[in-house]
Amino acid sequence: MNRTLATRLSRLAQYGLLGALFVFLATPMLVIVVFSFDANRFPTIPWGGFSLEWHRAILADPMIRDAFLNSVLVGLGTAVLATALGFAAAYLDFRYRFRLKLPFILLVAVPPAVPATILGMAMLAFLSRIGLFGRLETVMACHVAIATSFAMAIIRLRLNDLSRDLEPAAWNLGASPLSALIHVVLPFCRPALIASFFLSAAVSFDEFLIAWFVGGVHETLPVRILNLLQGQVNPKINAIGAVVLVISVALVLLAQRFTGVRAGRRPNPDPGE
Amino acid sequence: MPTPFIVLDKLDKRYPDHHAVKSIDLAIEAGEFIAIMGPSGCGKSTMLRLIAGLDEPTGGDIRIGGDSMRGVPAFQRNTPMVWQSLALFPFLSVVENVAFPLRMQKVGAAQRRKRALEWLDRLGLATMAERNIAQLSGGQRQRVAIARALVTEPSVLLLDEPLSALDAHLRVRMQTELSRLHRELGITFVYVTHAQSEAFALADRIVIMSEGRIQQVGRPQDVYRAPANAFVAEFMGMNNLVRGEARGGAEGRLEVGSALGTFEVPAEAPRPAGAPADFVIAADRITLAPEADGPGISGTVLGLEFVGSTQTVFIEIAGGAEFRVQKQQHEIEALDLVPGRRVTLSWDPRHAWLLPQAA
Repeated sequence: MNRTLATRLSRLAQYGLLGALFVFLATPMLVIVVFSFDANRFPTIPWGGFSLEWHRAILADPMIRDAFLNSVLVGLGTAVLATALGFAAAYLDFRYRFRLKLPFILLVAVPPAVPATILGMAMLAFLSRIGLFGRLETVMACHVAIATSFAMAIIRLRLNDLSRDLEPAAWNLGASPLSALIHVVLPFCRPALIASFFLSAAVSFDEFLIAWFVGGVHETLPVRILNLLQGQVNPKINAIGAVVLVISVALVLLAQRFTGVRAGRRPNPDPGE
Repeated sequence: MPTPFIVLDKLDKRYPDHHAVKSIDLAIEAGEFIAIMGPSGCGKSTMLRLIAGLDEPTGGDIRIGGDSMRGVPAFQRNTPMVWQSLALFPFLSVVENVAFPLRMQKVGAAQRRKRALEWLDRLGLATMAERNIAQLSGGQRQRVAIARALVTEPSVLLLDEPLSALDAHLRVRMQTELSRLHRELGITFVYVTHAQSEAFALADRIVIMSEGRIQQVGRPQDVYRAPANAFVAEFMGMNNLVRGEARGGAEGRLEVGSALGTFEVPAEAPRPAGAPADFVIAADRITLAPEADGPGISGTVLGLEFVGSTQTVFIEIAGGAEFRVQKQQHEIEALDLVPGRRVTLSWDPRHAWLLPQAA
């Protein structure tokens, strides 16, 4: 068989597979976005014409607005706290040697590996016992527990590239340990910190189960969506879905922009080596 | 005699797994260029880190300008160091790197920029000020590291193998530069290196270390011509060590019996017969002649090594010992020194150096 033909066929098959994969992943989301602009009350073909009616409707719905606000609050809080805690854990790992370091790191890393149902039920049982059930802060605390693990992973990756001499060099040049942390370690980690911030926000914004378990009357957007779905087939769902999709994708893309793991190039080649 | 500026007083550093610095005493004069040499793992870098306060000694004390450094954290010592890895801040521009120590001293933005630019200018980097560290060549980065260390006008500069990452050509140029800076600034330079050529070219005094102890301190020519012990003699590289024992001798001379024969060496004090008496003869002080042409010891040429204007000839002596002899190219050609050639080695007895007796 002709070799170039074989190569070409294989290439074609690879691209075909990749394309099919993307179509499979993207189509349901695309459908939601498309039908959110559909004038019809029920998502059916043919399309009933372009309309912003459902988008306007979600803006007018106070419960959705509240849920959205809750999601934003929890997301921002989670982003700030998880990034700070993630940095603290990663720096502890970078700078110090101590006993039980491995268990400590595992403890920070493990929450996302626990099935969300179990985590949610455990949190519910624990938090209701100590009287913290049903508060927005509680949802945030649970999200922080999950997102910190991602934040630590991203920041640790960055700290791995920090030359061991850089911090001592700062001390040597007159920086107190705190100054060195502020003027050397933090600026060095800045891309990772920004990435952690957006990724934590995305994790929180998308998280449903735990928010549903522990939030009580305080609904976040994903919880509101479920409650809407349970009631009736509501065309507003498509509109909410489209908004949530855009926000989540934007957050993840922003996070991606700063992690510096884009294919093909490294944004910060180590000049020394 | 000037008062010493940096004093190491029974300085000791013990890590859980090894004893890096063993009760070292050393006085470094103000304005001196001192080089600390030794094989890797001899404790020379640890000593520098102790002076800078980057490591805590486990015993003894360091005094700088008369003040004990015990309990003084690194950032309050003003003992800037040029790191082997340079340790430049990759997220800062060239001028920001140099201004960093001033920023830590809370010098105003305009003032610190001005002073940083002055130093960049002084090191020929004025046009690079706004560049990224990654955009500089190795030699330029080296200069940035030096400028950054000197910008606070310290009275001591520590250098930890600063030139080891540069290629040979750049290294020589940076040596000249460092030498000029030392002359102009008149401050104390403590320079850790494993490269003999750098130490000899730059230093007023050389400290040879091995296994956490100082083996010898002295001017380069003294360390080279008059090593204190067999370790220093061998570390200097171009010495041939002959082990033997005292056989007696006249005033100012000692007769040494060895496996290679009996030699006469200059000696300040007599030694009892049978006492160990090892001596060294430098590679450039040996005369080579065709075999059996006069007195001396005979050997076989093993090989030659080109070192520039001279070559090192490796010669195997009876009993398996190996001698190194340094010769000019024309001498090698005249004697037709090829591997396998038999030759006779001899030297002026006055050039042999008797190692002091171990204490």
